[in-house]
Amino acid sequence: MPQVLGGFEHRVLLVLMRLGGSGYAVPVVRELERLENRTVAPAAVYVTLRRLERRGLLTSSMEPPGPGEGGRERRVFRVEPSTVEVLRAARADLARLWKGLEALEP
Amino acid sequence: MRGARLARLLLRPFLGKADASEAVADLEELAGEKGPFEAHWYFWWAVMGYPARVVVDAVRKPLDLLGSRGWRGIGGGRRNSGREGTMEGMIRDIWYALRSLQRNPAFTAMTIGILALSTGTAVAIFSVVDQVLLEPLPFDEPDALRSVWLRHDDGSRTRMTPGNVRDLETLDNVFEGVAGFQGSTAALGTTGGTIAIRGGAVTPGYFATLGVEPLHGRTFDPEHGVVGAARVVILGQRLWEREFSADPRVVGRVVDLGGASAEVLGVVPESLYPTSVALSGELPFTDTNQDFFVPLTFSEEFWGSRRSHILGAVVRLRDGVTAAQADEALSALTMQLRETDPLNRSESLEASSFEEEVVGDVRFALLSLLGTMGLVLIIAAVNVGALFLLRGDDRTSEISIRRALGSSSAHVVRQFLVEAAIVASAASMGALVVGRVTIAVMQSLVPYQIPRLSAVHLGADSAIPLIAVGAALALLLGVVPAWRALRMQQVRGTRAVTASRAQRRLHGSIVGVQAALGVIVIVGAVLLVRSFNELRVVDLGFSERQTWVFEVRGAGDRMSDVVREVRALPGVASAAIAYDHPLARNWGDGFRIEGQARPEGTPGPSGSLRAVGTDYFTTVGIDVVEGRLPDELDLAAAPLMVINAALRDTHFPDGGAVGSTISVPTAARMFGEDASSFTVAAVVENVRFLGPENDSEPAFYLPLSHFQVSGSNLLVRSEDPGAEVVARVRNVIEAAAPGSAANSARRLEDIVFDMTARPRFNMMLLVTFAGMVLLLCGLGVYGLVGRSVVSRLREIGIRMALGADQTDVASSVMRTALKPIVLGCVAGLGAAWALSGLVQSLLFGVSPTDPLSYLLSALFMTAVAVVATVVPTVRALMVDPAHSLRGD
Repeated sequence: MPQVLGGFEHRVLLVLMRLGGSGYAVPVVRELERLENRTVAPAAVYVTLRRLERRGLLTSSMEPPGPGEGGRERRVFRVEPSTVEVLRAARADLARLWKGLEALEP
Repeated sequence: MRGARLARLLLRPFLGKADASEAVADLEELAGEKGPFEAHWYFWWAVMGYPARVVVDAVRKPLDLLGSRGWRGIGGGRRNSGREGTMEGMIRDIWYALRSLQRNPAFTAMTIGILALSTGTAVAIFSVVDQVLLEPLPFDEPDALRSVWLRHDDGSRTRMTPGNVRDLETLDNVFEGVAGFQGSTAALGTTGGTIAIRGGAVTPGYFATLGVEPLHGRTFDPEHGVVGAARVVILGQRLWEREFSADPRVVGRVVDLGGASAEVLGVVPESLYPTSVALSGELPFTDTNQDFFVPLTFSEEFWGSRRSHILGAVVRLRDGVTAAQADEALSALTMQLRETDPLNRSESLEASSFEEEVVGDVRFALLSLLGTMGLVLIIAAVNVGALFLLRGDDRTSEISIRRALGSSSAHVVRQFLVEAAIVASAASMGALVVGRVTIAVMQSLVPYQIPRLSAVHLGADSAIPLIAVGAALALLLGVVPAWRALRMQQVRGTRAVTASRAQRRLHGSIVGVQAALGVIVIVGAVLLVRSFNELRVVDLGFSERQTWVFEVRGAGDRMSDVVREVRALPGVASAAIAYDHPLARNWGDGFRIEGQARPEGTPGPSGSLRAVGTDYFTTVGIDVVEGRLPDELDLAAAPLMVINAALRDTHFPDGGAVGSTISVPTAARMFGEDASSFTVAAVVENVRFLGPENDSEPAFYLPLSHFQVSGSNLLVRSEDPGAEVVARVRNVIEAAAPGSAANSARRLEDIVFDMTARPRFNMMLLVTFAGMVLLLCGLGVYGLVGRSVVSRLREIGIRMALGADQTDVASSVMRTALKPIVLGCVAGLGAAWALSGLVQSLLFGVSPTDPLSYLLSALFMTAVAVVATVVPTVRALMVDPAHSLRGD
């Protein structure tokens, strides 16, 4: 059965890809807020990241802060190579749905 | 971020320890990017988002797993491979529990509401007791601090004289430090205008004795206490933060203090500094007199005086010196003074624990509130326990079906436990909110009458016991009903249960116990309400209506112009100046009545000295009982004084008070011997200076113009109750005396209101408790009778079919409820009677065994029980015999 992505899951995964394929919760919240220009509940990002991990779309590990970052260990989430396929499939699904509706595009 | 620990504790049950720490750290990082105010708000908003989302996610979880790899795939997950099976079971349990609770909204709301209200209030009161009474005072080794005062041989207690404070310093083998102090007020020039501030005038060793290190700068040196020394001031932390934006560079700056410049020597941290001291030797702590400290600058001669009782004293014991040894040294000093000094012949030096002075008189009230709250908590727990038990009993058939479908007993117990845990955690979260609100309400009721109350907060320390209590309760509420339900299921199988006689008896005794405990609380509340009513109707001896008190600092000689102009204002009925308002704790002084010989070796009588101006008595409505008030109460006019009835009755039992001559040493000290004798012009009504619960002490009123005081009060009686007059008076003060601070205008009525803040606080809390108790008992009775009616529908049907009339049925139903209530009330009243001695000290004008209060309490309880039985009784009366016989 193919993986179906929820709307928020989809967006969180895309943001992680933009962050270079990995990152912890704080940059994800920040980037989402910047791109969508609205406040994002950190709790929503928290549960989504863990749900995606549960579903095998992400892996995570505790890692020390990178050079120049603040001083605590944090859980860093990584996008699995297979997940990129899931994202592509989701995009293709959307594209299929859009086919024939070109008149609506700006 | 403040509160991070609390947030971690809150999130831990939902996220686990490691994830909760991680999430809070994330939030702190995100909040750090916001402004200081927004950060706090954002942080808590984000914290609150977690529980709901985690629960929703948990419910969705099985679907996710199904969506990805199906149920079988669980074991192959990357994390938690061994635990996932139990996790899944747990999630299903939570899901069922949520649904089951949702199906029974009345039960869910009632249990969560009762638990949240009762534990929240309990935690709030516990926090107050903990932080007001149990935490050590914020001084270095506070146990070594003792306050010292004088005890007259007649048993009364009074303030120290400067000479006696000096005497204490001679005991330097016992005391490491001796501090003397008195209250002080001043006008402080700030960028925003002149403001009135309150603090203390203290001996140079004050801070060293208390063991306080300044936040910035330094404290007083011995030379600061010498007459003519450069003027210096030490700021309290709160004033420094409020008026100087917490700028450490304020040290060394010169400020305008009372019209003269003074150098800021340092800033001391917020604490419980003793500043004012009551005539009766108490140290009345208020948060509002901690603004500033100046050195006491008495002349050497005045430091030898043993006549003016104006100072408070605190001493620090040397290392290794015990309180008993210090008391011995004080007794020895007392003996020596009694021989050498006539003024100390009938006085003893006594010491008491400083902590006791600060929190002693609120300790009992707070502990009794805590005890009462404990009773309410027990009642609430019993009530919720009963609700869970009944619900468990009702679910016997559900459990039978589950067992038949293969659930194990352990699983049934777990199911019950999960439901109880959900209720307990929802209640704990509600309790945090209730607790915070309760503390805020308490702080607004008694803003400064309880030391340290304003700083009380609901911290993690209080939340931990709350969570522990919640967990223990969940265990109890889960296991016991499950066990009972399982047992009943074994006995009865899948037949629907009817409440057995044993069950009804159990429920009846639960209601009885509730009523018994509840009546104790209600008796307490009724007694306090009646006592407060007595307090309220006490005649204070003056009329506070439509009178305003303006605190004026720095106006100096211009005050007489001000009061003249104010009198001419439209809307002003009368105006006068006075050192303070009638309920202020003024200083006391000894006096001598000309022509009355005093027994050899006694120090002579003393009384409360009140310095007032012309028209004072008409303005505050104090009636004349003898003689005639002088037109002008002014030294320039004539050396006249006014005494109160208590002084007349004590010292002129045979009459002749008016016209007699009284000399007052304070006046002699200030103006020389020729200005110290006054002729009594009139006797006025007693005023209860120390509040309605204290009798009036002997007092004499002297013209304010005798005294060099740094500030005074303008009392204005308005012709109408509105506040229009305030602005007009302020304008006059500003025009006549620019720069003087008239920032505080208070209604005399508000001052009277504040005087009764503590008894009102006790009363309101107890009334709230009583309300909770009545509600809980009502719910208990409702549950009992309701169930009893349901289980007896068949029996009632038969009885009615056989011709029983409605009255019989109604009374039989009522009996079910009223029997345990009446028995409970009797037991409770007995217990209240036995405990009555405890509340004695909180009462005024009402006996703790006041029969009317007991009767009223029992009536309240019974009335609530009767109301609670109305609905079930009506239901019983509407039973259709044919229908109920057909059923089952």
